[in-house]
Amino acid sequence: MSKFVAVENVEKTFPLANGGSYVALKGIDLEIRKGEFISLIGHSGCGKSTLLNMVAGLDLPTDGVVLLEDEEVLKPGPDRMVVFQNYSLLPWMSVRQNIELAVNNVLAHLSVEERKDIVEQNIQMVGLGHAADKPPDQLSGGMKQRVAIARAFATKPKLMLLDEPFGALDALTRGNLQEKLMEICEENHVTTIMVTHDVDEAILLSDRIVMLTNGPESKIGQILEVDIPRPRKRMEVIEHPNYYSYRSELIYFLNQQKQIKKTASQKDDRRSASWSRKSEPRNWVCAVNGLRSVGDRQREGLFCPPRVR
Amino acid sequence: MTVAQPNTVAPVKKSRAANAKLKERIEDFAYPLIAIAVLLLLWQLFSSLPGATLPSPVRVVQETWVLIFWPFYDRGGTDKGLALQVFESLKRVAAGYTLAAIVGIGVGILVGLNKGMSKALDPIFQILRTVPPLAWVPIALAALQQNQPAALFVIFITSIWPILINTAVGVRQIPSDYNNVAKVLNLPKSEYFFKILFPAALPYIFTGLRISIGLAWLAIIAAEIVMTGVVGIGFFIWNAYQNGQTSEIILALVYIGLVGWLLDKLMAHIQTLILPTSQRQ
Repeated sequence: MSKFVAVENVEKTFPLANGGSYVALKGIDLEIRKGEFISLIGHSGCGKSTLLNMVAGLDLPTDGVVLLEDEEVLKPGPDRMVVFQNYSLLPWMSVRQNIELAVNNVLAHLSVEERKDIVEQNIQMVGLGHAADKPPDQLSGGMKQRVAIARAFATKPKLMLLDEPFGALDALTRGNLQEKLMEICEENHVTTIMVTHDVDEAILLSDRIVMLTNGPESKIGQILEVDIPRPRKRMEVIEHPNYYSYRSELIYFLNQQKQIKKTASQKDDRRSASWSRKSEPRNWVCAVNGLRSVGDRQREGLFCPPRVR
Repeated sequence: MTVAQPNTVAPVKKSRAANAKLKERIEDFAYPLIAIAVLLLLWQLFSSLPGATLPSPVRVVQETWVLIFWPFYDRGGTDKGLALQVFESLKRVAAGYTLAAIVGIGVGILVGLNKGMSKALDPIFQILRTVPPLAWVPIALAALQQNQPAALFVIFITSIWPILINTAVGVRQIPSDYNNVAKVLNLPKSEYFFKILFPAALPYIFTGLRISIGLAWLAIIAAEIVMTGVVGIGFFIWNAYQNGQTSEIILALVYIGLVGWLLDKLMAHIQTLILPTSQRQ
């Protein structure tokens, strides 16, 4: 039984405001072995975060199943920890309390001392001993993401899900954290799925890179095996003879997708222009416009809570 | 990231910054004082016009200096110094407001969590919210028969709405990030409530509490004015009006304004003490 996670013929459709629907993902098949590091790469709006959320159980597929150790994923659970791009730390708790919240709930069967040890170990693991009692507001972005990573690893999940974990960080911090993450993953033998935009990040960290085509109806376009021995070091990876062929393969794919997107949108423009001449609106145009609101996480942040006074 | 700076530049910059800060502080105090002085001067001028009905500021001080300098005197009954009168009113506000906060936050959370309840009750809240404090007084007296509970009820009913509505909104607007963390960790209900829901809604709750403390103070004056024979700043005003002591009314107004302002500042201060920086508005 080599498959640890299986995504079988998964489809995800979002309802649109106008009553129509938008097919974000269609016919996704993917098998992941235990201990593997998988990256999902693709342009914004291609549904890679949606796919990750379905593995996490935060979102359910419209069709098809996600299996973890042959059991269907129906709801989120601590065996599949998620590290979000925006860290999702609770600002009213200190670094330690944030990690404790996770450890105390997920590892409730352990004794108080054991749990305490695990919390401290994980704080030390990401090198935040000096900041353990600070609230997240007083930390830099990189430090916050380290806390989020520590929180996720502390609960000893079977599967780690990283949603563009380093997307909001500067290049230096990102590089350091990537190496740290690799170290931690190798030590803990955790199976990991990471969503990323970054080609170099994907090659450095992954065993396989899954490339998604553009939406609507995104599917897996290609899977790239990264055959570089571990443990890897940033500088050594760059000098590996296969590095540039991997890199150009990925970039070629992404460029190709970009071209398709461009021609598709040009076609749309022509079509919608001809439709508007006939003043005959079609759902299809709205579906394409809806792409922006449905894809990725752009949905969030649109909405400003009204304050009642 | 951190570049070592030449030592000579830093202290000069610092002292310049300190000077600018000091200047700003002085301005913070001086400008309002100047505005008050101008206002008093205008008042003095207008009240010395022929046919003026209200006393000038100088006359107000002349006529009320006993009240100004002995705020704590107590000659029994309702004949007490202004500080004691204010204190009595504040005690009522504290009781009514505390009750409003407990009920408001509790019901607000229920309404925020339950969509059906929110739909059913929201119109009622929105209508009752706009009823002014004074309009509640007769019905409170008719229902409760006695001054003291009626006063508490009026404070309660005027100050509960902003707390309730803001709490409900706060609960509904909990960022999905926090909820996702709770979902991934499978937090039990009680843990979710105390560790996520309540702290996440706290900024909204505080906004409600701060609006409400002003309303509660507003309500007590209204309530006391109508209720004869109670010690309190509201009744003090009414009593002074009955006796034609306009200067005392004006002094009481100054007290009411100052206390209301202090209450607001107090709430704002508590807010900054409790909320983490990223949650402050």
